[in-house]
Amino acid sequence: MPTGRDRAKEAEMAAAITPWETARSGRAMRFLTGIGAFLLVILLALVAVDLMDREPGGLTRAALDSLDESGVENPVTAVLLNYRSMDTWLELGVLVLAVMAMFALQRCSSLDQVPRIERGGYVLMRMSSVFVPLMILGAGYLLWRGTHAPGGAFQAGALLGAAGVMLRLTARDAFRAVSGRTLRGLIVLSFACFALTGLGFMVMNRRYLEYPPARADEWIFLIELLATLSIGAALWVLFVGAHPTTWSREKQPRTD
Amino acid sequence: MPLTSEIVFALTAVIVFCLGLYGLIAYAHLVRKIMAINVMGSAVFLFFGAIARRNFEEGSDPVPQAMVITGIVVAVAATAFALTLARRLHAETGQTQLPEEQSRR
Repeated sequence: MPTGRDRAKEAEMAAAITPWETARSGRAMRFLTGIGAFLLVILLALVAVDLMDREPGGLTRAALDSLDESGVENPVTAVLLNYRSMDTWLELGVLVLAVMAMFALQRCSSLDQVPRIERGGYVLMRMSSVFVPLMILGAGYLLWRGTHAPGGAFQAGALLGAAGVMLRLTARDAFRAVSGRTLRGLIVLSFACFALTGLGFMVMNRRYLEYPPARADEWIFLIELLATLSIGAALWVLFVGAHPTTWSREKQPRTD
Repeated sequence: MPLTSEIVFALTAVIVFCLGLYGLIAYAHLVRKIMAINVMGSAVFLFFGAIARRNFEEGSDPVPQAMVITGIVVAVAATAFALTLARRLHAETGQTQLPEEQSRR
C-alpha cells in the first residue's frame, strides 16, 4: 500500500514533468520541418516505387538454393541461424548490452529494489492467469514451428517477454523468486553458448559458427532454445528494471 | 506499373517514416522523441516487409524478413534503454528535454 509520503513524492514528480507541448520550440520552425518532411515523402516515394519495380537480387537466390544444406526448411530461420548466424549472435549481444546499460543507469545489478505495485482488478487478474500460461505454451509452439514455418527464437522470445510484462503489470513479481545472478546468467546464456559453439567448430577445422551440415538442424534448435530463453528474460528484465522509482534524486550513488 | 499491395505498403511506410521524422525534430519532450524514433523504425520494418515480396513468385524473400525479426527485438531493447536514460536525466536534473532544446527558448 502506498503511504502518504509516497503519494506526496509522486505528486511532486508529476509537477516536475514539463508538459507535452512546449510552445517555445517555435511555430515557424515546426512549419519548416513539416514542409521538409512533406518534400521527403515525395522524394522517398519515388525511390520506393523505383525499388519495388526492380528484380530481387543479391542474396535471395543464394539463400533459397542452399536451403537443403542449412538443416531447416524455413528460409528465414536458415538466414538467421545459419547463413547470417554472426549477425544473430551479435544481436543477442546487443540485448546483453541493453540490459547492462539499464542496470548501470539504475545503479543496481539485480531487481531486488524494484518496488511492488498494486494488484489490478478482478477481470485483469483472472484474464492474466489464463493468458500467461497460454503465452508460455505459445512460445514453445513458435520455437518448434520455426524450423519449418514462420516462427522461431525471436518470436518465441518476444512472447515470453510479453508474458513477463503481463506478470509484472498484474503485480505477480515472479522475478523476486529468482536471484539477480540467475537472471543475469540467463540473459548472457545464449550469447555465451553461441560463441562457444562457434569456437568449438573452429577447433574442428571449420569457420566460426559454421555448423557441420549433417548435424546443423540439432545445433540450430539448441541455439534457438537458448536464444528464446535469453530474449524472453532480457525483455522481461528490461521492462521490470526500468521502473522509475528504483532510485530517487535524493539517493546517494551506491558504491557497491 | 500496377498498384499492387506491396507498393501500397511501401508508400505507407514512406509516409509513416516521414511522420516519425517530423515528430523527432518538432517536439522537444524526450518521450515524444523516443516514440517518434519507434514510429520511424516501424516504418522501416514495414518497408522491408514490402521489399521482401517484390516481383517474387515463390513466397517471400527471406533475407529482409530475417532482418526485420531481429530488428524488432533489438528496437524494443534499445527503446527500454532510451527510456531509462530519459528517466535518469529527469531524476538528475528535473528536465524532460535535452539542454540544447532549452537554449532554443
